[in-house]
Amino acid sequence: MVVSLDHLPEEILHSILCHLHPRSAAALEQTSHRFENVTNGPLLWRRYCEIYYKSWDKKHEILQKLALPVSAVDWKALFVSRYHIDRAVTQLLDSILGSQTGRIEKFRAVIDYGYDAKDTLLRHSTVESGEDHLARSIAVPEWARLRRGEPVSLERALGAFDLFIPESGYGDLDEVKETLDDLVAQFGASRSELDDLSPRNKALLLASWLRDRNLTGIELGREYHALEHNFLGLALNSPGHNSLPLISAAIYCYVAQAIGLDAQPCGFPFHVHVIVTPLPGFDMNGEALSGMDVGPPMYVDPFRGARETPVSDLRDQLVFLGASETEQAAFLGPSLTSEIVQRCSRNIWTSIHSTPHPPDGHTTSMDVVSAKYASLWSSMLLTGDSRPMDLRHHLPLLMELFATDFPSDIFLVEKYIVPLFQGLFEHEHILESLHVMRAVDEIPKQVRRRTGENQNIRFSVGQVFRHRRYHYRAIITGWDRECGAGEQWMRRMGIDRLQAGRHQSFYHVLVEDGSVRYVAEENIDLILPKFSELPSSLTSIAGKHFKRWDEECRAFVSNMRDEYPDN
Amino acid sequence: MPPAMPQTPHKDDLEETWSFLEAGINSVMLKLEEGVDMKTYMALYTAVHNFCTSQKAVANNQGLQAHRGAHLLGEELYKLLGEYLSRHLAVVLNESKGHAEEALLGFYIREWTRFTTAAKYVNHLFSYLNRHWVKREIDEGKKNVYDVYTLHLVKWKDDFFENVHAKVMDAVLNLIEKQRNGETIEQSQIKSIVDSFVSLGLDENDSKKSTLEVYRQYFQRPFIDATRTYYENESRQFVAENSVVEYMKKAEARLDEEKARVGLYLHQDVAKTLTETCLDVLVTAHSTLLRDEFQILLDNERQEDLARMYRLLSRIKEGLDPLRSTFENHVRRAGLAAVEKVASEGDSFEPKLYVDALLQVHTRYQNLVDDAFNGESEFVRSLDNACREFVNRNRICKTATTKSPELLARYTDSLLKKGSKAAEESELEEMLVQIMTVFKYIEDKDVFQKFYSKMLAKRLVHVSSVSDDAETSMISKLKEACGFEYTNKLQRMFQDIQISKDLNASYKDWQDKVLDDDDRKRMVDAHYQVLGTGFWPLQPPTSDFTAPIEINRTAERFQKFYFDKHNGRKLTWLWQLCKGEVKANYIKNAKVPYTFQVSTYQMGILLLFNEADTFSYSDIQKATNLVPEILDPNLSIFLKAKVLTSSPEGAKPEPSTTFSLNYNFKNKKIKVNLNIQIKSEQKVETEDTHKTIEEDRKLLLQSAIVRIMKSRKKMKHVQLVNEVIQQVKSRFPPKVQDIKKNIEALMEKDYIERLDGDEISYIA
Amino acid sequence: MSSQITLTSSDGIDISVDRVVAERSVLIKNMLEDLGDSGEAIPIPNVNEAVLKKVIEWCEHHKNDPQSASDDDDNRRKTTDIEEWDQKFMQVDQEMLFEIILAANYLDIKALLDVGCKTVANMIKGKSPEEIRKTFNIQNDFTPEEEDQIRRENEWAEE
Repeated sequence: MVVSLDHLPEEILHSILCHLHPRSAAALEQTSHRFENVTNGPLLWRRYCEIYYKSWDKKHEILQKLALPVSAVDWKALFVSRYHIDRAVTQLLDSILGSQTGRIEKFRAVIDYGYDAKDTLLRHSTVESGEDHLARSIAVPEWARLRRGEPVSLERALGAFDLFIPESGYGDLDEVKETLDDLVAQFGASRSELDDLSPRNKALLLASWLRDRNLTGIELGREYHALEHNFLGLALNSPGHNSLPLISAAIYCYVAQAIGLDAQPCGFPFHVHVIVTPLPGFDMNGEALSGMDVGPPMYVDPFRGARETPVSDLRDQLVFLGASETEQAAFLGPSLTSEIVQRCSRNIWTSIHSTPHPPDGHTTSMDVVSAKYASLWSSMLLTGDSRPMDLRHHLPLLMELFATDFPSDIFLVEKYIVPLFQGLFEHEHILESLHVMRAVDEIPKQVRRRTGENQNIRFSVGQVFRHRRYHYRAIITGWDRECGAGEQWMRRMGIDRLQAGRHQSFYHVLVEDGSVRYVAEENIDLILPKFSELPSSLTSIAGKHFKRWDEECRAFVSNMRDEYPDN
Repeated sequence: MPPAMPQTPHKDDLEETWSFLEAGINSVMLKLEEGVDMKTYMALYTAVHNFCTSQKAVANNQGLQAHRGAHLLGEELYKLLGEYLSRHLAVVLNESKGHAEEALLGFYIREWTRFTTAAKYVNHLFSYLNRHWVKREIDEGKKNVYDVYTLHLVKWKDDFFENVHAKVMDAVLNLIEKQRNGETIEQSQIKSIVDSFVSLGLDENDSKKSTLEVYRQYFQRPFIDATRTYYENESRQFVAENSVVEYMKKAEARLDEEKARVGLYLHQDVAKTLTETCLDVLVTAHSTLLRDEFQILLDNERQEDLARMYRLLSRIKEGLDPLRSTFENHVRRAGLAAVEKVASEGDSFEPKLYVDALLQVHTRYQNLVDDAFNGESEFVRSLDNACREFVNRNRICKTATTKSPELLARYTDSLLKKGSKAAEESELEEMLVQIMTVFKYIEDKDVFQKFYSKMLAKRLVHVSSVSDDAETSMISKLKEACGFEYTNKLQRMFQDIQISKDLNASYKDWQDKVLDDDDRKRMVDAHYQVLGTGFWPLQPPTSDFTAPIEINRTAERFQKFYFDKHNGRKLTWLWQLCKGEVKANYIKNAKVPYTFQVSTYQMGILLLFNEADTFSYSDIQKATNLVPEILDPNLSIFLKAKVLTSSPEGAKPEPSTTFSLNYNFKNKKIKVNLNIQIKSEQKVETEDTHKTIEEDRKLLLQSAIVRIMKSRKKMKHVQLVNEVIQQVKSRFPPKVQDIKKNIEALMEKDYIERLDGDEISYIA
Repeated sequence: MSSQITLTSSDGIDISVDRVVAERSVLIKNMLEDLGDSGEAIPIPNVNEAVLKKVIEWCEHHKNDPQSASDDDDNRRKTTDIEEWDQKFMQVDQEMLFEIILAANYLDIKALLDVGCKTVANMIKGKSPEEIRKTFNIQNDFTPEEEDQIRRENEWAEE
């Protein structure tokens, strides 16, 4: 008997299929009845779903599905639907790169797929900020839900800030939760006799465990107000785990709740503490009380470590600050999640403005603009309707940032910011400026061809040069046959003192410091670098205008063909 | 010659395959001791593999389009294996009925070992089934499918264990009871049973994990119940027949024994519950009985039994609480009794006697707390409460709580004064430490301070301290206990003395330079102390005094020197504290002239007699300017010592008396001390001190009120009173009435004013 | 120095091999643990000499590899990368390839089974149904209607 593929038992065929792309499984399915059977096992398709798609939109309830018996879900159909989305998103992204027109609508279409678009976005991560935009479109609704009074867990509400920050590395709130769950598991594993401890001892043990591992608080010698200390996800992932008291408290509360403690952040002024309340009918020492009385809570300051803060200390401070009895009760009680978010938002604002020039060499690698943007969004969404002045104060700041740096967020602004101003006079203004943005996006760009009078333009879009006089490096993003700037500008810049004066070609360029300039041809000294020789400052800003780097031509490949079809 | 390779069954034939497998499993299950050879082992594994990989099912599936999807083989084998195990266990169950007690345990363990050993083999033989069919079923979310080893355990539990566990546990419990009764038993049997019960705890959700559920339900629960019953009976009986002291010994031994039992053959998981149960039955149930014995043990000072009682009751919830107040009362009574004894010896006892009595009681019970009660903080607190009570409120203090600090200060003075009985320096230090022990309990700390500073002033002025080291040691102790402010003045006094020493030295240098021989002859050799007015508890003289010319010259000379150095300062001469020596060259039959140690006042009187032998009372008064209250007692001293004689003979100092120098003065000593403190002076001084205390307290209260109001600006009356109490209670326990009075006083002085609603406001 | 054991192939040939090498097979490892090494030859009734030698060659080469950890490693399953030595090792005719896979499955040598499956997967990758049929000599047993229906069901997978 000659052994062939057909002779292999089911279990072996199954493992072969596991190594194949589902497309090949589909091909094999069409060969014969035997393989039709083998390739249709629901376990196989569940595996494909798990392997190929990590991110799932909420509507799939993927975790619940995974917990069901495998036959209860049509895994193959689910895979195929995700495959279609993958294809559609890929096409949209290609088209965004290919044309400068109608990008807003295309972005919207991508974002409408929600989390289902994320795997594809990650694969095409060169596309300008698509992934970041998706992250923000996840973050903003969390705060909106909080605003409506729906329950949002603390780690999600705070993790939303991380989604605004590209360097946090988070694209998804579940990742924050997973990191925290890891901590819970580690803590559980470190102490087997946890259940025997009284709530008080548990609470203290946890505080010292976190502090010993440096997971809470700030290392000695660091600037307290450094921007990165404000982000939950960043604090969890960065090697130093530095965090402000608010974030330390949030980390503490999550783990504490997971091990059965009723721990919540406490809105103490200046320094967020954690309030741990015993179960009804018990005190913090685990002793039963008469009836179902609630025993006195304890206060912990995870930022500082494993000591209980006596409530008398806190009261003394409040008395010192002149708080009334009712204010004291509020400061010493648990805080609402929305209050904590607003506080975090204010902290970020403080950090941005208190450390303009990071001292002592701890240069912050944080994207200050994104952080500011996050702070504005959260405070606008969570400021009550009762304080329209605050809203009005923040609006121009937000609109300016949005227009210059985050134009793809137009749908978020339409959906979440516009309704806030319903009935206020700003309402019309916002709608108007959004309308203008859209209109600009829809207008096809004026086509500039290299024919006729444009024949003599020497350099093309995508080339890299060094400025003859100022020596900075820059990429060409556009050109004019002769100087197209206004008379005033030319006079100010002394254009007529140039050798060739104003009647030479001028180039729009993107400089390595991020600025945009307008340069005369005579000042352009082309360099033909290898990709590895390009400064990272240039490659990181190039994504907005260029598809990729062409190593052969030593230039960027333009995605502005509709404007400069001949480069 | 090894047996030939058995013929493996035809792979598509279930019946043939199973009967081949059953024969193999049978020999593993029943005759493993005879061994399994390799060929059989491989043949069995291969039979399972071949059956599972046969494509029989594919043929069956063909044409069944409705049922698309992969299908693995093995379900039939799994089912048949389960049925086989059930049959086997039915036989085992039947056999078990012939055994009871220890024989049953032996049987259970034997069968369990046989079964689980076989399970390991079978699990390997069926490993192909585990790897594929079982794994697939579990992945697909099927319940009640286990790997083959676990299947064995599940079957054992369902088909055998469920039917015998009660009987097995009876046997186990009987065995344990025998051991508790003192018999020797086969412990390893129980250990094996425990291990088996633990193994049967399977996690429904994850077959790789185990839980203790089965063990807890079937072993732990009956075991704990039996333990409770056993010790309930035993303790009830024992208490009826023995003393409480004996019972405590028994209970402690039993607790240790049960703790050891866990290590010997039980699962660690039971430890907590077992201990709790034993404590409940052995201690909590008899806690009233134990506590009733506490007073008796205290009365008889049975330290070891007290320690045992502490150990037992400390382990149950709130076990010690009722003892604390008993202890506190006991210590207080002991303290009061000790003071009573001192008081019964009349009013004029030595302060040492009193302080020693207090200390003795404290030391005795401090030791008891340390040794028997593990130094536990709550008992320390009870001890402190009791001590504070009897130190401040006892028969001797009955008149005033200020008596204790006064006596303590006097005792301290007696130790620090030259000529104290504590010879060794280390001994002295030890006694100072003890003084601080009592000091800690004193409520009127300001009273102690007053007396202490008076006496310190005297020691310093009269240079009668036993040593500077001892003085500084005491001051630093007080500083540690009460803070800088409390000892500030004491330290300044100490400093003044040091500065004065330097001052005298530079005065001497100055004199050497400025004075000629003539001057020097006319000067008196003197030592000066310059004391800061604000720091010393000293009063200016109560009488005018014209110093003798010799003294006056010397004093003026010094004054000139001093004012040169410190322009603008004012010096007041405290004549009442000055002293000196005079030589009596006039006495006829003395070979060596007598030296009289006298106060400056006395010197003023005596030096008059250089001019004449007899003076009238008014002459003396005119010459010295002294008031009769001072002149009279000093003249009396001279008369009594027979330095002077009076006329008419035996007359007391009064305006009609005249005084003459006694040329026939005689004394055994060459040096005669005439500078004796006058009794009435001491009493007046004590009364003065108490008076100044009242005055100081008023000031302290008022400054506290102003301080508080200055920082708070506005406050409710009640709150203010509370704050004031907080601030001053470390010095003395203030009376609310006094605080109110002082608030009123400050209102009158316009420091503060009353607003509406019982609020008080600060006037800036 | 590890001890030698003898394996007997299905066609009755004895092959001597280091115990550590043979123990790459979990089956053999378990058996030696259960029964102890009696010195007897171990019968391998399902594998013939040629295949058994090939399997031993592989085990010999990989005897110092760490035992594979979890078998549900997604990344390992997703890629079909094969290390160079294994690629060469697997350059055999189809029949031998399937025989090796079956033997690895029987003897429970997970890593070898994996290499075999990857090799087959690479042969399927990128091929149309017809090309797959040709490669593996698969009989098309669909009726034209069935074939048409199943093709439509799988249209999504076409580029």
